[in-house]
Amino acid sequence: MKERSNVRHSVIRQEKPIYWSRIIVKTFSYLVLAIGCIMVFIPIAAVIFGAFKDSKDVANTGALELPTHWVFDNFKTAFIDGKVLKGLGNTAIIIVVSCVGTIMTGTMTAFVIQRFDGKMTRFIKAAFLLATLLPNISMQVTVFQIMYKLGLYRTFAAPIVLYVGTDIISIYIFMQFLSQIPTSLDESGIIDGASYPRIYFSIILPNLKPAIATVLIIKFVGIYNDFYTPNLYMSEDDPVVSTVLYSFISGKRTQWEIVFAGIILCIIPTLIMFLTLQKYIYNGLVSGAVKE
Amino acid sequence: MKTGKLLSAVLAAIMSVSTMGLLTGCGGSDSGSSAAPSGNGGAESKAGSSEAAEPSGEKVTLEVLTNRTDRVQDGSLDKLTDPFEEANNCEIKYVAYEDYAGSVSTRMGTDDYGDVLCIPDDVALADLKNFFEPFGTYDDISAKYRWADAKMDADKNVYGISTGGNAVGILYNKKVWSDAGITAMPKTPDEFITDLKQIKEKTEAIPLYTEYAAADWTLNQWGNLVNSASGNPNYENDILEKKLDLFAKDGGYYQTYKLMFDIFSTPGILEEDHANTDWESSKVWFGEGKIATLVMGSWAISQFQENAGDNVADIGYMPAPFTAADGKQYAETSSDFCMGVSKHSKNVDLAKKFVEWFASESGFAQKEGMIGSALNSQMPDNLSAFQDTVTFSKTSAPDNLIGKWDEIDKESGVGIWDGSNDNFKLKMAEAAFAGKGESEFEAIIKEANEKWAAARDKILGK
Amino acid sequence: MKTKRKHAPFKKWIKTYEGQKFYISVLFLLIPVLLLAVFTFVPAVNMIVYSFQDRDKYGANVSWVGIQNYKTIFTDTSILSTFKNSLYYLCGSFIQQVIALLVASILCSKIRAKGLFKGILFFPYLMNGVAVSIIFKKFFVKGERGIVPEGTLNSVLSVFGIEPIKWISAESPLLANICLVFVSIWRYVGFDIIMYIGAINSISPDLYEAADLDGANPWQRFKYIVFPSIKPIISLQLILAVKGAISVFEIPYIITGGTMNTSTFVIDTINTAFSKNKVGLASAMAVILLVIIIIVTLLQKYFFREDGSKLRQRRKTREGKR
Repeated sequence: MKERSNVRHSVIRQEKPIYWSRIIVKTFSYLVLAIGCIMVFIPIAAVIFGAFKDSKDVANTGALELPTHWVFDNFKTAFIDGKVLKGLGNTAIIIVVSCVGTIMTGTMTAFVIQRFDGKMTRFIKAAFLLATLLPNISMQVTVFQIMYKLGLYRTFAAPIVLYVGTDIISIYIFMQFLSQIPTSLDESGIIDGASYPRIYFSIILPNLKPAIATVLIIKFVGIYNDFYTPNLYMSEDDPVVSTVLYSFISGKRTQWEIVFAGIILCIIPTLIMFLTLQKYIYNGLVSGAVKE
Repeated sequence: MKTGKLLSAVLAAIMSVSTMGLLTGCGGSDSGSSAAPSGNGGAESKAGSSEAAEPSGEKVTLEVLTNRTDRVQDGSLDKLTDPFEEANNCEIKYVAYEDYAGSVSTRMGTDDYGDVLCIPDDVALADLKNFFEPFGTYDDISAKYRWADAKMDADKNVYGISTGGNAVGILYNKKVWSDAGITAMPKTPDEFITDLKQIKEKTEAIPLYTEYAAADWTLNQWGNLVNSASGNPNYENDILEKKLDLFAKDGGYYQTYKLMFDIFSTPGILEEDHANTDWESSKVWFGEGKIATLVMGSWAISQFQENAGDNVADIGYMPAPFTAADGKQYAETSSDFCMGVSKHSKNVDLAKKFVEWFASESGFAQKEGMIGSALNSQMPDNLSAFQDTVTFSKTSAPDNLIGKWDEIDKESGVGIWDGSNDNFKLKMAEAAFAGKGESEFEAIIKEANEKWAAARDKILGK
Repeated sequence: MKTKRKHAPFKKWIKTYEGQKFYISVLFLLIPVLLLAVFTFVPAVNMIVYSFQDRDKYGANVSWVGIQNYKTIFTDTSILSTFKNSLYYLCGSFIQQVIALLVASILCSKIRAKGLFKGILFFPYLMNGVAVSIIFKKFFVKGERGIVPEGTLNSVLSVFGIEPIKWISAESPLLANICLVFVSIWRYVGFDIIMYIGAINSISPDLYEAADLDGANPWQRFKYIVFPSIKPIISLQLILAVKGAISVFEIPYIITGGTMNTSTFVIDTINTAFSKNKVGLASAMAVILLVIIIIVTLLQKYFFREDGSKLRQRRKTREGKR
């Protein structure tokens, strides 16, 4: 008791000098955060204002001035004529198929590699680990040739196959999670007479839910924002979100008000996802990166 | 519990987005297919055997790949093609690409690259036979069409027929030029630059618009002036036969690119923000007199006229400002894209018929203000300023040099028509913008000369 | 009869756990391994083979050229100069780490509306890269008198009476690249902030209490407690930054197309393969990138394995205390 009050006393004694430096630090902290937020907002604000301007306003008002009158047609034009709708639809198809594919192949691979220790599985594990060394981005020079020899070029299958087949991070995440699921669970299943497929489906898979969630988030963000793969492999007739946006500025007359509306439309799904799943996104992406 | 909730939330989010997407995706493709059958060659394979074999069957659909996104979007190509579709009971589906060469040459990696397509220039002449059906020999085709040698291999088989041709020259706004007090058209590079400076002084317009944001193709418009500047139809062959430097001082390449370099080095007479030029908008600005001059092939004239509103009469076209040693001005006419028929087309005969029809009867070239490809077609009106200019098309290469020019170009890496950021044209332009001066220009052409000479010696022998 | 007898043990065997293991392994691994082989290892081998060839993207004209492609890369100044641009991005990543650390430490102190600030600063990371690039294409527009209004940045500056500046131009490759690096920082810094927040939060609160008792100021607190604790994460981040810096593609590709001396090695590789149609040379370039990345990754594995285990240990001890 006595000691404690002593400590308190000493803190109080020192309070005055600390108080001032605290204010400075606090002010500085808020200042940094405010500047950061302004930096984030200014470029985006120009887009938001621009999306509600007509072409005359875009030409005559400053980027950060409010529209003289608010126009909503840009969104309609971007959505229908600008093919944003089509892009969102195609992206959704690709995301769903790739996610299902990744979860199936990823959990199965992780299950076999993690649970059945043997020469073969060790070899395969090494192969997967080796593959993480290869830089995806420059491999496309030759992946491209294989893609068209298989007749997958300009089809939805091309990006899906790449998203599923070259996603080793997910397998890694599943393996890490599996290693934390005690094998005694499997053994109890064996004692109950369950077959391995049954163990996989009714014991392993349900227990992998947190890992699946993490993988889903990483996949969604990764595929939704990928430009490189669809730009290289997909047909102009079937754009995804990224290629739709790119088509706005490559070639054709750049009508900035339509471009801005298109950008906002493409960011809305991300924003909704972010607001609803914020916490899981932080955790998911960070754990994905650390395991890379 | 917690993770279960999370998982279902994620799934729900994805599902809702995806169902939305699926619904709309279907809607989109439905409306698309009513206008034109979906891509990826599904239409062709369904149509199956050719029209001749199955006259009463389904309509044959030909997929035609073109660079003219504008004409596909405004529907004018479709309209133009109606007579052909009716006469042959078929359907022509145009697919247009903005980045034509890039998109099509990647598509040509597969067997599915349409039935008819504008032949991308990066297909080497020697490779034509791997991708296209021959139309006939040079002698046959040149009896009917201009520029028959444009897509011909070393065996003198012709794989592509021109869709029309252009005279090379310079697009200018007549009103702005006369407002600036210019009465006579420039005949030399110096006069041209003086005139541009005068426009800068006397008017508000941008004297010359570089279109640099689309440098990958707009700088090639300068390259088009090379043969005209040389005044010699046989110039390219001479470079090979006499083993001249590519940028020999008195030659077309040097003169043309020196002019470009000098103009780009004079900041006042260009737009300020080279990184953000806008091709489509510039058509409107040109008509409004905000831009005075553009270096463009004559194919562009009609597009600028369409965007000029009431000022159509202001759009003028003049020969390149070079005077040959004989005191005359020359203008090369050259082929625009040539159309070829895919080797993998299931309707080769009909496709060939279409190509010939497109070249001779469609009226496309006339409508676009181009020189028609048929030998009997007339010069378009927009080339009226070329009365005193000698027009010529470059002589085809002698037998032993057919295709060698392109081969040397590729081998050397000089990239005469390449638009990548490390190409000599872009290097020159950026050196000029940065005000690096004459020495940098000399360094760039020296490097190109050396690469060219090495590749030439390798391919043609010393 | 014979066959039946043979079948019977097999049928039995397949039902044993040994047998199950076998068919499950085959069934479960068949597709993933096939995909891995076809889309990772075959292309990797091809890449090395092609790099000794002269070939176009159709594979129509193939000839062996030995190490000619590698010679070209190391003698052609324009290819090498793109590595110089990687240095801009590398410097940018260091600045990015500093900013991220600063903001993360602020967000870990007692601050109001933490979640909101964190969310705002992180959101750019989730935004579509093409959207970000377009936003900044507009952001840096210089404008054209009487034709094109100035871009976002210049119109902000004009409020302060500053004349419009040519941000992206050939006159100053330095400025142009700095602009692009800024975009890269803008987009990715939020992610680093989250990483650092995670790391800082895993520091035992006891340490802070002790520091408070000693009357440490925030800088001392950072220097003696936070920094040593999150060193492993910092070194991981720096290594990732090197990898990122040599594989920059999207932002310059969309904003400048590689013009104005802003091209990167990956843009050049892609252009060489797909627009110049020199797949052999492009493969050699890809092999070089591969070698660099492998070296960096091995370094990362080496450093991070050590530091990672330390981190885990610390976490364990902390959890143990609780």
